[in-house]
Amino acid sequence: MTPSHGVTTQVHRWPHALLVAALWTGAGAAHAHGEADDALPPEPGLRLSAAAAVTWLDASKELPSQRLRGFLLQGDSGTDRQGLALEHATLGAAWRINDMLGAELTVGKHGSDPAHVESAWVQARHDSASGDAWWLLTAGRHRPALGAAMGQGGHFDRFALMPLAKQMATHGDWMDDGLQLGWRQDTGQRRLSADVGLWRGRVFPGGDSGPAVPTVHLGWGQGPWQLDGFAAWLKPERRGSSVSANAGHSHTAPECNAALKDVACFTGRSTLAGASVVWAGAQSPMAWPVTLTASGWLRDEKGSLESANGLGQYRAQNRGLWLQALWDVAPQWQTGVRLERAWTTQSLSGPGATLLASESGLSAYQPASRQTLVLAWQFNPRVTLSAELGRERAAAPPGTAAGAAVGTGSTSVNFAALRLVARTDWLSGGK
Amino acid sequence: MAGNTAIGCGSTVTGLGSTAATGNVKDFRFYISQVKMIRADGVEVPLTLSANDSWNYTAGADSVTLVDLENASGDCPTATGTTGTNAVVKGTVPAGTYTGVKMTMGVPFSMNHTDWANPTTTKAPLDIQAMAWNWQGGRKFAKIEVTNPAWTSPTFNFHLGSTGCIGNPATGTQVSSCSAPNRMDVKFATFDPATQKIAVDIKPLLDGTDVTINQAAATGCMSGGTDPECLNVFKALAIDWKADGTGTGLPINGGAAQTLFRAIAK
Amino acid sequence: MIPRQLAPWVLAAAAAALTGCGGGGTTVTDTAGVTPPPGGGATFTPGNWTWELPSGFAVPKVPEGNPMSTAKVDLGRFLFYDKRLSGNGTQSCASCHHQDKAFTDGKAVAIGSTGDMHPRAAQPLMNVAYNATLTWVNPSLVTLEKQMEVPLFGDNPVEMGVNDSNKADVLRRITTDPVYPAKFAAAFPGLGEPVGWGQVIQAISAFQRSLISGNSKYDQYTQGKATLTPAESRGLALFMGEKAECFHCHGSFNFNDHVVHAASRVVETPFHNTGLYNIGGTGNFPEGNQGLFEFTAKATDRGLFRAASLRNIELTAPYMHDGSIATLEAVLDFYAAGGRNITSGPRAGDGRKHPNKSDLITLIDLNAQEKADIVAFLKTLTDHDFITNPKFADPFAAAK
Repeated sequence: MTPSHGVTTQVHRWPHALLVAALWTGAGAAHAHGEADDALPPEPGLRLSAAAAVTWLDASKELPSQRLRGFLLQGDSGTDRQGLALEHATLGAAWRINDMLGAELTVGKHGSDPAHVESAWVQARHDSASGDAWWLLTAGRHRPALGAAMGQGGHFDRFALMPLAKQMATHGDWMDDGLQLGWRQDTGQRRLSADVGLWRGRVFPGGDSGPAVPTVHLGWGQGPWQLDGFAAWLKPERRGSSVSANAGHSHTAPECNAALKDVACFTGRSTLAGASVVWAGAQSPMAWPVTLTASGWLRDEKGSLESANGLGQYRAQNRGLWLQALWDVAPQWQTGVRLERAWTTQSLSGPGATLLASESGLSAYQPASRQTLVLAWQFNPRVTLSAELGRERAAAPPGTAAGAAVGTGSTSVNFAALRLVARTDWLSGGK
Repeated sequence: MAGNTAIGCGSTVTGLGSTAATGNVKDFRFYISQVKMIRADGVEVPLTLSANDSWNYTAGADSVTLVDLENASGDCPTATGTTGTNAVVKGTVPAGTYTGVKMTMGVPFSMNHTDWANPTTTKAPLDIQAMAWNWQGGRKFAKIEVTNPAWTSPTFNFHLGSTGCIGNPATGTQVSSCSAPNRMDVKFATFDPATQKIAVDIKPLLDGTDVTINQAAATGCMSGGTDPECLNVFKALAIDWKADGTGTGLPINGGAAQTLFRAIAK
Repeated sequence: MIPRQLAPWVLAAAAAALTGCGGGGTTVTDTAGVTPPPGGGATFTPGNWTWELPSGFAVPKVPEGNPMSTAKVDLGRFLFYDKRLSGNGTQSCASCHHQDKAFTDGKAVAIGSTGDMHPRAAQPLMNVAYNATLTWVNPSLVTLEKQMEVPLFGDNPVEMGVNDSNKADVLRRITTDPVYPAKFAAAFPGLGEPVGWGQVIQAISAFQRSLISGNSKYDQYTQGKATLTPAESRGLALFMGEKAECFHCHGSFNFNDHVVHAASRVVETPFHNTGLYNIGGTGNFPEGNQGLFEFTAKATDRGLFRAASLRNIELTAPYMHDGSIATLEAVLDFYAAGGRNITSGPRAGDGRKHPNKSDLITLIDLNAQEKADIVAFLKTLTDHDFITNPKFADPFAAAK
């Protein structure tokens, strides 16, 4: 069904706002809907895009947030962000085949890790008769709809470091293979969205195996306000967490082998949920050039945790949130602040729980927090240079104590970063 | 026996091994288990040992008898030998016509690795210290030794036992498996217990081996996986043994070619 | 609907609340060692024994048939130090296991009661409860009870020299001594049969299990109660790092890689060749000391031994399975060189080129300062409380 003129206008409006807003907030109202929404060009054609963020970070020691010791994650040491590094780079191709179908492929790279397929999906779109609503069916590897603030956090957004809440909840950006059905309505006054998805669940917090993961997202927007909420229900079976004293940095989950060598395995239920509120002052009657964001996450787990050294019943209520304010002080200049915190209340009970808790780092738990200030200069539409100052606090890393010895509290690190983010795209056909 | 001569502690034996050496008996004991009488129609019927006593022990389907042909005299040390002897494996089978017998020289796995100093867990004849094989956590299935101070290596020890044994520390199971069980199968298709007995002859056991020296590894053949002294000994036992240590420790062809035991007239 | 004007302030207030909420915490409840007997039933309370374990130590594994109790451990201590337990009455367990040396004897190889030389050194007994297999290398000895049969009754070499002909007499010395009947009765209440070697072995095993050492300077440091000197800190960092590779084989809470405890579900029992010998380039170790090969007959197992715990290592010279390296400094030189090259004599051969040598040894790269720092760190593993603790001392000495 060919879109009516009204819809075409709608489709045009968003990308424009997107291009501007994305460069500024990265997580603003533009991406209010599922992330797969707006990647396709509005008209049939191919868009190739490239983006890269290069960061130079100076800190007195290794950033404890990268390992997030004390939380049950994948047990690796995290990336050492110190020095000059390629924070993230992507190459993407988005192809709108016709009014209804489109496909996308993005390849990405972090630091010195090998390049990998970040997303690869096909999408079918159906516009409703009224013209202000449409359906999207996306299949392939993409991000479950979370809402812009939560989805974009840490992914080429204004700040160099992944929000603690997202790290705690999904160990970074969450892309999975699955099918997602979304409904959008934009009456001009009010924007509504709803999504349901079903995913493979092999990426954290999923495990080696387990049933498909259902997700749900609801979004409401009016004027400067955008509210989003999502939930996901996972049942990981044998999700590995490395317990070797010197597990290096790895993006892949350690294998839950039968010999339980150097690994602790979690089997049980993991419930993810989050909510975000964005207030884009520029769209309010006061027209303040300020965007305020609040985003909170939770990951509740219940199940068994086992390693060669013990078996226990594990329960955790992981929580995280961040508050952010971005202020467009002048054309091309933006400044902002982000305050974050992540914490958990967890318990482990069973034979060998002492060693299990210490080797998986749970006994070394300390709440994590971070405060960051940023000043960004977009000196041309494609390139932004920013400077950050921040301080973070999290549990001290191991490696200063052998075997089962617990860490000695938390460590606080100040950091400064210079960051260059560049994006470009090229559109063939279409506008 | 040595050839056709009965021997025991105090016996001097000639013609031992490849150098036809002369030596004295120092020890002569072995365990026999899982005896089965072979019926005329070919069916193998397990022998039920008489009640447990200091030589016999039965637990469930496993049974073991210690045949002890040494008496701690002569060159058999009093410290490690026992004055008692036992040359009999006695039991019952259901009535029937039996033509043959088969047995195993060894201790069944279920009994082999028990703690032997603890009378609560271990009963005779598995509680003899000298028959324990500490280093592999089991028993010596056979302990046959000959000695002569004049030899370069004064004692030739034949100790048969399971090797490559591993325990399971997580369960505390002493030994969970052994890579080379080393239990010897013996079969006599025709055997009449009324008129015949079984001779155990050390001459074929030591055939082809120079018992006066020790080329490598343990003194004699202690079932070591690569011990050159074990090559011909294991041939006499018809147990699969290879010089590179890859032998399976399993009987070859049911022990058909074994030369250690033979049936003789009573 | 929040008035738009107020919106920013609402969010700012939430920001202020950030620092207030969110502490969280971890609760750990370890039920190891309090498991029900097989077949279900009530929770098993192990006698009147309470483990006083250092922080970070797991509950030791205790065989079901030999639960711990203070009476049993006390009886075991007496038997451990009792010379009458040997065939000729000259040696006790303590003759080769001295408390002031973390229960080893300071000799290169141990010597039995009749003068037989053992091919290997006496094991230090601290934390022996956690050893997944016992002795320098023996994959089939996994409990203290089973292992004890070797020194008590072994005849090659003769250690304590108890055998079939004297075992009844030796036992009688113990059971007829006025000190012991009450102790046995307290340690084995309701024993329906006369005291035998089984009970002797169980009591000494229980005493050995009680020998827990975890209060060295390093342990205190990990609990924030002590500080390391700069050299010791550097040594610790090197120990845990990839230049020295020590932690790979000496990295558990017991500073080895061969641990079993009450909640162990999968236990690793690795053995390693460090390049000590390579006689004539054949890969042979001295006869009688070929390591794991003597059990498996696999050429790839020649020269493999269990990595020892490094706790109290300052006290347990000389080093290696045959005591062939005299000092800690020489040990570090040996590892930094990638093995030992013996240039003359019957054991000549270049151990550095042994085909079974662990790959990690080759990677060790240390200069003189680094070696000295690691030695300084190793000395922090000495537990002075353990070697003077009266609970582990000779009860007969008090009487002298």
